[in-house]
This record gives sequence, structure tokens and C-alpha cells, in this order.
Amino acid sequence: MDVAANLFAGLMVALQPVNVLYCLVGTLIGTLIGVLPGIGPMVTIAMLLPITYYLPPVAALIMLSGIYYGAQYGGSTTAILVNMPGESSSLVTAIDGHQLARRGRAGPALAVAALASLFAGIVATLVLAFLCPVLIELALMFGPAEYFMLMVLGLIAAIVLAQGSIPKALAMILLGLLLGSIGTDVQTGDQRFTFGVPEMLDGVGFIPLAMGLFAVTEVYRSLEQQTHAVTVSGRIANLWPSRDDFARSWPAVLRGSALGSALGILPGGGALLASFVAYATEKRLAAKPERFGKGAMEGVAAPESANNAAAQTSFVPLLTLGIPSNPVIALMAGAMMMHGIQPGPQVIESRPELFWGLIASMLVGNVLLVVINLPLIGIWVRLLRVPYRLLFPAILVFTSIGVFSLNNQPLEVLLLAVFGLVGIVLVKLDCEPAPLLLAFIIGPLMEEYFRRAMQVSRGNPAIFVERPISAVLLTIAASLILVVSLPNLRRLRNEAFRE
Amino acid sequence: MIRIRSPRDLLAGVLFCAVAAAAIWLSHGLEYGSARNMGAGFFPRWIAILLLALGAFIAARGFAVDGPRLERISWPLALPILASIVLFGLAVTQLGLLLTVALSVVAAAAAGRAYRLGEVALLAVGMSLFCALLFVWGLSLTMDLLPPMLRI
Repeated sequence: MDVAANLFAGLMVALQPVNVLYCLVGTLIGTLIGVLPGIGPMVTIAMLLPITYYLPPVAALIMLSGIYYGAQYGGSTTAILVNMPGESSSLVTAIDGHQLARRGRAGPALAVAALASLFAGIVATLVLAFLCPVLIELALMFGPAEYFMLMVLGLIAAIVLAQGSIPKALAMILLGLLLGSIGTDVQTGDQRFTFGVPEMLDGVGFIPLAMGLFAVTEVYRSLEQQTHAVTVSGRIANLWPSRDDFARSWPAVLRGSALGSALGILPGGGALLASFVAYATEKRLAAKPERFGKGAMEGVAAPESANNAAAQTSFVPLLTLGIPSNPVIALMAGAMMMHGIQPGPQVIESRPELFWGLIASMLVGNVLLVVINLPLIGIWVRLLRVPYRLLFPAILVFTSIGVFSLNNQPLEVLLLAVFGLVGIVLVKLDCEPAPLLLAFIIGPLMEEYFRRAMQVSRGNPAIFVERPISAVLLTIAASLILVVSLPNLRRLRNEAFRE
Repeated sequence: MIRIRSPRDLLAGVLFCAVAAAAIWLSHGLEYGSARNMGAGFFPRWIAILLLALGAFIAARGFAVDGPRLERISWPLALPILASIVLFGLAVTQLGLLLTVALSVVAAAAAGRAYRLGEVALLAVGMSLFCALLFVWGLSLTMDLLPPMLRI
């Protein structure tokens, strides 16, 4: 009842003309960059963050989230038509989607992907609406010790579920925490690691850091990989799926939506993981698994519903606990902080219009995506022919302007170049920058909870094991690390990512 | 003789250790406080100590586990990218947005596979006009379009 009323109120916010406009802009940009390989939601959101500073916070968040789930949507178009993932999360969609396109069934495959995304989007929105208030109730009972441990668990889980070496990811977390401690210490007012430079008093800028590590590094990575020429296969004659397509797809969509919603909530989860698991599940459950890889409609429906659902439910940890679960959501957290909103359980009380408006806007956005995008597929396909050598200078210029416009501070642009170089070096050493950014965002809050917990316990660290909830969280975090360090399971994890 | 088996791990570990050591050294200038009442230096110092230990572990693994070769940074790609940004930062307050964007595009395009003069020139002009329209006129950000010294 309560949720329905709140959701309705949120819908009223989301349907205000300004917000619909920014929702449309967000989903359109999202689709566009989803279609284009080499530009992901991470880079785009980082580029647009500074601009959103000039928008009202509700509109800003609606637009940014639209980019994230819109990109999941656009990614499938490229996957099906070009056999190249426009987004990493539509990697598996390409397997069967492209086979369908080669058999002249590109239209129905695109339509199934769109409708699956729409359905999953609606499911995920409802999951958000019902789950968030419950989790917030829980979060409000947490003391500083529990909160600190929750953040530790969040960071650990995020690296366990992501790709790459665990010790290096842990080191990146610590590096992020150190970077986050630069600047004026809030509690004592002392300057930390500022070298007396006045520009450092507020700490390292989040925007130059995020954009340097992600946007600039991504441009370098894409250029190095030398994306090959794009050939679009399959003319789109008829969009409408057949009765058989529907019959095959709907159970896959149901499972995909459920899996995606669940996996999106996990820290470190998100669209990529969800699409992989959903595809693997369908293959395992299928009566004739050999059909997969040769153009099975389920192979499009399941991952596309899962990645869209997961993109949306990955907002849950941010909106309820204030903990970003993946780097895209970390950028959302940055956007909220730029508007003076500290993400966390208090947002639902202090800014209900923002909280419910954002959730409800996802309903609006998903409908917009289907209604506007299916007719526009022809245009998206033409955009695929824009070569990357024309795109990347534009990306770099937008990035520089974005960083500069924030404070009209040329020094921050130079900092962007520094972090860009750091990002390139880190990538060469197989150190993924995502954990660093997550830790940088929640570091200051983590330190504050740590200090408060230790004050409560009068300096006794046993508080973290004596409090039952904190002890449970610590046990989970420790066992996660232990589990992935065991050789057998490590192999399993590597295989899961290779498949 | 000890052989380096995973150079990426070794180098990463050494870098982590170097950053951690610097942070520990710098944190001595900060109030440490006590566990009960922490000073500004408490949290960073402990994080840095953990990072030092972990960095040493990662570096040691470079001798124990086989890993991929060290890959060079491709400077023909990295330099134009970084130069484009640095140029923007240095020029934007001196030359105004129009010229800065054009310069930045020309520098960045050098990282592309084929440098076609006409195409790059067109892109540079197009981007500066587009940026002027979008940011200064559309979003009304306060930036000079032309070199400020031309203003009287």
C-alpha cells in the first residue's frame, strides 16, 4: 500500500516535463553510447557529471541512471547486428543474436531484446521500490561498528565478484582509501598530505580522478586494441517476433529478470555478471542445449533481460546503505555528493521526491526506450559507421571541458592528465582501477565510522567481533576472501569469466 | 639465481610499497592520537602499513608465480592523448575556448591510425563550434570564447 502510494508520488515527479525531458536525453545518450563500441556508460557518465552540476538534482540523477540502463539496451543492437558487443554486458547476446541476424532474423531478435529489457526493467523497478524501504529500516538500526563492517564487506565483495587478481584489487582498495584521506581531516581540521598547497585542502578532486582513470584510460585501451572495421549484417525486414519466438522467450525473460534483479543487488554485481549467468542458466536448463550458439532466441532474451534488470537493481546498495557496488554507481554517488546529498538510508526521508522520483523514472525510461528506439534502429546502425578516430578526440575534449568547467580551474585539467597516465600504467600492470574508485568514494565515511566505533568501545577493536551483526559481516567478508584464495574455486571463478 | 617470473606483479608490488612508504613517512608529521581518540594520522598510517605489507606480498609473488610479460606503454598513442589534455589545461584561460578546443583536437588526432590533414582540420573546426554552442551558449558556462587579451 505504502509503496504503491510512494511509487505513484514518484511517478508524478518523474512525469514532470523537465524530468521526462532529461529521462529522454539520458536514455537516448545511453542507447547511442551503448551502440557505439569503445564508449561505455562509465566514460559517458564521467564526461557528463560536471554538466549535471547545473541541473536540479532529481533531473541530473534521472538522466545519469537513464544512461546506464539505456546503454544496456543499445549494446544489444550492436551485438546482434555486428557481432561485436557495444557494451561488455551484451557480450553473450552476440553469440546467438548474431546467428539470428545472419539467418535474416535480425528484426525479431532486436524486438525480443527490446521487449525483454522492458519487462525486466519493470520487474527491477518494482524490486527497487519494495526492497529499498525494507533495507533502509534495517540500515537505520546499524551503529558505527556495523556500518564500518558493512563497507568492508561491500568493498571485498565487489572485488571477489569482479575479474582480476585479488591481492592487487585489495591493494587498489587501500590506495583508494589513502587517496581519499588527502585534504583537510573533517574531525580535527588538520591538513593531510597537502604539502601546503591550497588547492589540495579539499582533497583530490573526484571528477579528475574518475575521468582520468576511466575515460582517458579507456580511450588509450580502445586505440591500442585497434577496433576493426564494422560490417553490419542482416537487413531488418520485419521486426515482429513469431509465435514460436514468444513461446521460447518468455520463460527465459522471467528467469533472466529474476537472476538479473538478484545479482544486481550484490556488491560488485551488475549488468556484466548478470548477463553471463543468465545465458549459462538458460543453456543448462534447455532441452536441446546444442541449439545455443546457433541462433536460439532464448540466448538473446535471457541476457538482455538480466543486464537491464541488474543495471537498475545495482542502485539498491547506494540508495539504502550509501555504498556504491560498482564503478558506474560510484559515479552516481559522486553526482549525489556534488549536489550536497550524502547517499544513504536518510535520503528516503530527507529527499523523498528524489528517491521515489528516481525509481519511478526507470519505468518511464524503459517505456521511452522501447517506444522511441525500435523505430530509430536504422539511425543507430548508421552511427556505427562513424570511425573511432573521429570519436576519440571529441571524447578527450569533452572530458577536458567537463573537468575545467567544474571550478574553472586549469590545475584540475592537468591533474586529469596525471591520473590518465596513472590509469594507463595501472592497466599495464593488470591493476583494475574500479576498486580504487569505490574505496576513494566511501573512504572518508569509512574512516568516520571507524573512529566513532572505536570511541564507543574506548579504543578496543574487539567491538567489531562483539557486536553480532558486525561479527557476521566480518565472517562473510573473511570467508569470501578465503574461498576465492582456494585453488579449486579460483579456477572455477576464472572459468566463469572465460565462458 | 632468483628469476623474475611475473614482472607485472613485481613492478606493481614495488610501486604499492613505494607509495605506502611515502605515506607512512609523511604521516609522521600528523597527530597520531590514540585508538580511543584518533588523530588525523591514525587511519592513513594504518592503511599505509597494510598497503606496504600487501605490496611486499604482491612483489614476492612476482618471483613465485608465472605471469605475463611486461607490456610497454605505446607512447605514440599515450603521448597525443595526454598532450591534448595538458594543452587544454594550459591554453584554456589564455586562448579562449574556440582555439583551445581546436588545438586539443589536432593534438589528440595524432594518436589515430591515419592522420588525414583535411579530416582533422574539419573535425577541429566542427568541434570548437559545437563546444561553443553547447557549453557557452546552450549550458551558459562561463568561459571565454576568444583569447581574453583581445578584449579591450
